[in-house]
Amino acid sequence: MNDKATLSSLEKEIETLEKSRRRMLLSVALFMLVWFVPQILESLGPETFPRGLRALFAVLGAVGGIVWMVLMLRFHRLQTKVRNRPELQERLNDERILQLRREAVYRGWVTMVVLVAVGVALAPFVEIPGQPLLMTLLLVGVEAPILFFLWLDRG
Amino acid sequence: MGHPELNNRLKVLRAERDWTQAELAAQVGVSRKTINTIERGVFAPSAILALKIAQAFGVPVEKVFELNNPS
Repeated sequence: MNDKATLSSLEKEIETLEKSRRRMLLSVALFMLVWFVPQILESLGPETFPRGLRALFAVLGAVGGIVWMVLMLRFHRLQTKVRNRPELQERLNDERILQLRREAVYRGWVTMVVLVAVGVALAPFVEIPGQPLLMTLLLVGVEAPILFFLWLDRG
Repeated sequence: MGHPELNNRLKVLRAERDWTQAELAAQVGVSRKTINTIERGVFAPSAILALKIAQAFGVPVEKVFELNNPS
Protein backbone atom coordinates (compact mmCIF):
# COMPACT_ATOMS: atom_id res chain seq x y z
CA MET A 1 0.00 0.00 0.00
CA ASN A 2 1.25 3.42 -0.80
CA ASP A 3 -0.87 5.44 1.61
CA LYS A 4 1.32 8.00 3.30
CA ALA A 5 -1.00 10.08 5.41
CA THR A 6 -2.16 9.05 8.81
CA LEU A 7 -5.58 7.48 8.70
CA SER A 8 -8.34 9.26 10.55
CA SER A 9 -10.05 7.47 13.41
CA LEU A 10 -12.97 6.52 11.14
CA GLU A 11 -10.60 5.11 8.54
CA LYS A 12 -8.82 3.11 11.23
CA GLU A 13 -12.15 1.84 12.52
CA ILE A 14 -13.18 0.75 9.02
CA GLU A 15 -9.88 -1.08 8.47
CA THR A 16 -10.17 -2.76 11.88
CA LEU A 17 -13.76 -3.84 11.21
CA GLU A 18 -12.80 -5.20 7.78
CA LYS A 19 -10.07 -7.30 9.39
CA SER A 20 -12.44 -8.42 12.16
CA ARG A 21 -15.00 -9.49 9.58
CA ARG A 22 -12.42 -11.56 7.71
CA ARG A 23 -11.11 -13.15 10.90
CA MET A 24 -14.62 -13.92 12.12
CA LEU A 25 -15.73 -15.45 8.81
CA LEU A 26 -12.60 -17.61 8.75
CA SER A 27 -13.26 -18.74 12.35
CA VAL A 28 -16.93 -19.47 11.56
CA ALA A 29 -15.85 -21.61 8.57
CA LEU A 30 -13.20 -23.42 10.63
CA PHE A 31 -15.43 -24.20 13.61
CA MET A 32 -18.28 -25.33 11.37
CA LEU A 33 -15.81 -27.94 10.09
CA VAL A 34 -14.82 -28.88 13.66
CA TRP A 35 -18.53 -29.17 14.48
CA PHE A 36 -19.71 -31.10 11.42
CA VAL A 37 -16.87 -33.36 10.26
CA PRO A 38 -16.79 -35.48 13.46
CA GLN A 39 -20.60 -35.78 13.31
CA ILE A 40 -20.48 -36.85 9.66
CA LEU A 41 -17.83 -39.47 10.47
CA GLU A 42 -19.84 -40.66 13.48
CA SER A 43 -23.02 -40.93 11.40
CA LEU A 44 -21.28 -43.36 9.03
CA GLY A 45 -22.20 -46.05 11.56
CA PRO A 46 -21.25 -47.26 15.04
CA GLU A 47 -19.01 -50.02 13.68
CA THR A 48 -17.00 -47.76 11.35
CA PHE A 49 -14.73 -46.35 14.07
CA PRO A 50 -13.52 -47.65 17.46
CA ARG A 51 -15.41 -46.49 20.54
CA GLY A 52 -12.59 -44.21 21.78
CA LEU A 53 -12.43 -42.40 18.46
CA ARG A 54 -16.21 -41.99 18.42
CA ALA A 55 -16.06 -40.43 21.89
CA LEU A 56 -13.43 -38.01 20.59
CA PHE A 57 -15.70 -37.17 17.64
CA ALA A 58 -18.54 -36.43 20.06
CA VAL A 59 -16.39 -34.10 22.19
CA LEU A 60 -14.94 -32.32 19.14
CA GLY A 61 -18.39 -31.94 17.61
CA ALA A 62 -19.82 -30.47 20.83
CA VAL A 63 -16.92 -28.04 21.30
CA GLY A 64 -17.06 -27.03 17.63
CA GLY A 65 -20.81 -26.43 17.84
CA ILE A 66 -20.58 -24.29 20.99
CA VAL A 67 -17.69 -22.18 19.66
CA TRP A 68 -19.51 -21.78 16.33
CA MET A 69 -22.62 -20.47 18.08
CA VAL A 70 -20.57 -18.02 20.15
CA LEU A 71 -18.84 -16.81 16.96
CA MET A 72 -22.19 -16.36 15.22
CA LEU A 73 -23.42 -14.25 18.15
CA ARG A 74 -20.27 -12.10 17.94
CA PHE A 75 -20.71 -11.80 14.17
CA HIS A 76 -24.31 -10.73 14.66
CA ARG A 77 -23.16 -8.10 17.20
CA LEU A 78 -20.60 -6.79 14.69
CA GLN A 79 -23.26 -6.56 11.98
CA THR A 80 -25.66 -4.75 14.32
CA LYS A 81 -22.92 -2.27 15.26
CA VAL A 82 -22.24 -1.59 11.58
CA ARG A 83 -25.95 -1.35 10.68
CA ASN A 84 -26.50 1.29 13.36
CA ARG A 85 -23.91 3.59 11.80
CA PRO A 86 -24.88 4.43 8.20
CA GLU A 87 -21.42 5.67 7.15
CA LEU A 88 -19.76 2.48 8.38
CA GLN A 89 -22.49 0.41 6.74
CA GLU A 90 -22.06 2.20 3.40
CA ARG A 91 -18.29 1.88 3.32
CA LEU A 92 -17.88 -1.60 4.79
CA ASN A 93 -20.54 -3.02 2.50
CA ASP A 94 -19.73 -1.02 -0.60
CA GLU A 95 -20.41 -2.17 -4.17
CA ARG A 96 -17.24 -4.29 -4.34
CA ILE A 97 -18.27 -6.25 -1.23
CA LEU A 98 -21.85 -6.69 -2.53
CA GLN A 99 -20.46 -7.95 -5.85
CA LEU A 100 -18.10 -10.35 -4.06
CA ARG A 101 -21.00 -11.67 -1.98
CA ARG A 102 -23.09 -12.36 -5.07
CA GLU A 103 -20.14 -14.03 -6.76
CA ALA A 104 -19.38 -16.14 -3.66
CA VAL A 105 -23.02 -17.27 -3.33
CA TYR A 106 -23.11 -18.16 -7.04
CA ARG A 107 -19.88 -20.17 -6.81
CA GLY A 108 -21.17 -21.88 -3.67
CA TRP A 109 -24.35 -22.83 -5.54
CA VAL A 110 -22.30 -24.23 -8.45
CA THR A 111 -20.22 -26.25 -5.98
CA MET A 112 -23.40 -27.71 -4.45
CA VAL A 113 -24.82 -28.60 -7.88
CA VAL A 114 -21.54 -30.30 -8.89
CA LEU A 115 -21.51 -32.22 -5.59
CA VAL A 116 -25.12 -33.37 -6.05
CA ALA A 117 -24.40 -34.31 -9.69
CA VAL A 118 -21.44 -36.43 -8.60
CA GLY A 119 -23.66 -38.06 -5.97
CA VAL A 120 -26.37 -38.81 -8.54
CA ALA A 121 -23.77 -40.28 -10.93
CA LEU A 122 -22.31 -42.50 -8.21
CA ALA A 123 -25.62 -43.55 -6.65
CA PRO A 124 -26.22 -46.60 -8.93
CA PHE A 125 -22.78 -48.00 -8.04
CA VAL A 126 -22.15 -46.93 -4.44
CA GLU A 127 -24.51 -46.96 -1.49
CA ILE A 128 -24.57 -43.40 -0.17
CA PRO A 129 -25.96 -43.16 3.38
CA GLY A 130 -28.59 -40.43 3.75
CA GLN A 131 -27.64 -38.79 7.04
CA PRO A 132 -23.93 -38.18 6.28
CA LEU A 133 -24.85 -37.05 2.78
CA LEU A 134 -27.34 -34.45 4.00
CA MET A 135 -24.90 -33.20 6.63
CA THR A 136 -22.15 -32.93 4.01
CA LEU A 137 -24.45 -30.96 1.71
CA LEU A 138 -25.34 -28.61 4.56
CA LEU A 139 -21.66 -28.21 5.45
CA VAL A 140 -20.70 -27.45 1.85
CA GLY A 141 -23.67 -25.11 1.46
CA VAL A 142 -22.47 -23.00 4.39
CA GLU A 143 -18.71 -23.34 3.91
CA ALA A 144 -18.41 -22.81 0.17
CA PRO A 145 -19.84 -19.24 -0.05
CA ILE A 146 -17.83 -18.15 3.01
CA LEU A 147 -14.57 -19.56 1.67
CA PHE A 148 -15.19 -18.21 -1.83
CA PHE A 149 -15.90 -14.76 -0.34
CA LEU A 150 -12.68 -14.82 1.69
CA TRP A 151 -10.72 -15.93 -1.36
CA LEU A 152 -12.24 -13.27 -3.64
CA ASP A 153 -11.67 -10.58 -1.00
CA ARG A 154 -8.06 -11.60 -0.38
CA GLY A 155 -6.78 -8.26 -1.65
CA MET B 1 -14.30 -8.98 -11.61
CA GLY B 2 -11.48 -6.85 -12.92
CA HIS B 3 -11.40 -5.57 -16.43
CA PRO B 4 -8.09 -5.79 -18.29
CA GLU B 5 -9.42 -3.40 -20.94
CA LEU B 6 -10.17 -0.64 -18.43
CA ASN B 7 -7.27 1.68 -17.67
CA ASN B 8 -7.40 4.25 -14.91
CA ARG B 9 -5.40 7.26 -13.79
CA LEU B 10 -6.39 7.17 -10.14
CA LYS B 11 -2.86 6.99 -8.83
CA VAL B 12 -1.69 9.96 -10.92
CA LEU B 13 -4.73 12.08 -10.07
CA ARG B 14 -4.36 11.27 -6.38
CA ALA B 15 -0.66 12.12 -6.44
CA GLU B 16 -1.39 15.47 -8.14
CA ARG B 17 -3.73 16.34 -5.27
CA ASP B 18 -1.61 14.69 -2.58
CA TRP B 19 -4.54 12.49 -1.56
CA THR B 20 -4.26 9.09 0.06
CA GLN B 21 -6.43 6.15 -1.02
CA ALA B 22 -8.29 6.53 2.29
CA GLU B 23 -9.05 10.20 1.61
CA LEU B 24 -10.44 9.42 -1.82
CA ALA B 25 -12.40 6.48 -0.39
CA ALA B 26 -13.99 8.74 2.22
CA GLN B 27 -15.05 11.24 -0.45
CA VAL B 28 -16.82 8.66 -2.60
CA GLY B 29 -18.20 6.47 0.24
CA VAL B 30 -16.31 3.21 -0.25
CA SER B 31 -13.56 1.39 1.63
CA ARG B 32 -9.88 2.10 1.04
CA LYS B 33 -9.48 -1.46 -0.19
CA THR B 34 -12.03 -0.81 -2.92
CA ILE B 35 -10.06 2.22 -4.15
CA ASN B 36 -6.91 0.10 -4.02
CA THR B 37 -8.47 -2.69 -6.10
CA ILE B 38 -9.83 -0.19 -8.66
CA GLU B 39 -6.40 1.44 -8.90
CA ARG B 40 -4.74 -1.94 -9.53
CA GLY B 41 -7.36 -2.90 -12.13
CA VAL B 42 -8.63 -5.80 -10.01
CA PHE B 43 -12.12 -4.34 -9.60
CA ALA B 44 -14.08 -2.50 -12.29
CA PRO B 45 -16.33 0.11 -10.63
CA SER B 46 -19.95 0.70 -11.58
CA ALA B 47 -20.77 3.70 -13.75
CA ILE B 48 -22.11 5.49 -10.67
CA LEU B 49 -18.93 4.96 -8.65
CA ALA B 50 -16.77 5.92 -11.64
CA LEU B 51 -18.75 9.17 -11.95
CA LYS B 52 -18.42 9.85 -8.21
CA ILE B 53 -14.66 9.36 -8.43
CA ALA B 54 -14.43 11.70 -11.42
CA GLN B 55 -16.55 14.24 -9.55
CA ALA B 56 -14.27 14.02 -6.51
CA PHE B 57 -11.29 14.82 -8.74
CA GLY B 58 -13.28 17.53 -10.53
CA VAL B 59 -12.58 16.08 -13.98
CA PRO B 60 -14.71 14.33 -16.65
CA VAL B 61 -14.96 10.57 -16.17
CA GLU B 62 -12.95 9.87 -19.33
CA LYS B 63 -9.98 11.64 -17.72
CA VAL B 64 -10.04 8.99 -14.96
CA PHE B 65 -11.05 5.84 -16.84
CA GLU B 66 -10.45 4.85 -20.44
CA LEU B 67 -10.71 1.72 -22.54
CA ASN B 68 -7.42 0.04 -23.29
CA ASN B 69 -8.22 -0.52 -26.97
CA PRO B 70 -11.10 1.76 -27.91
CA SER B 71 -12.56 0.64 -31.23
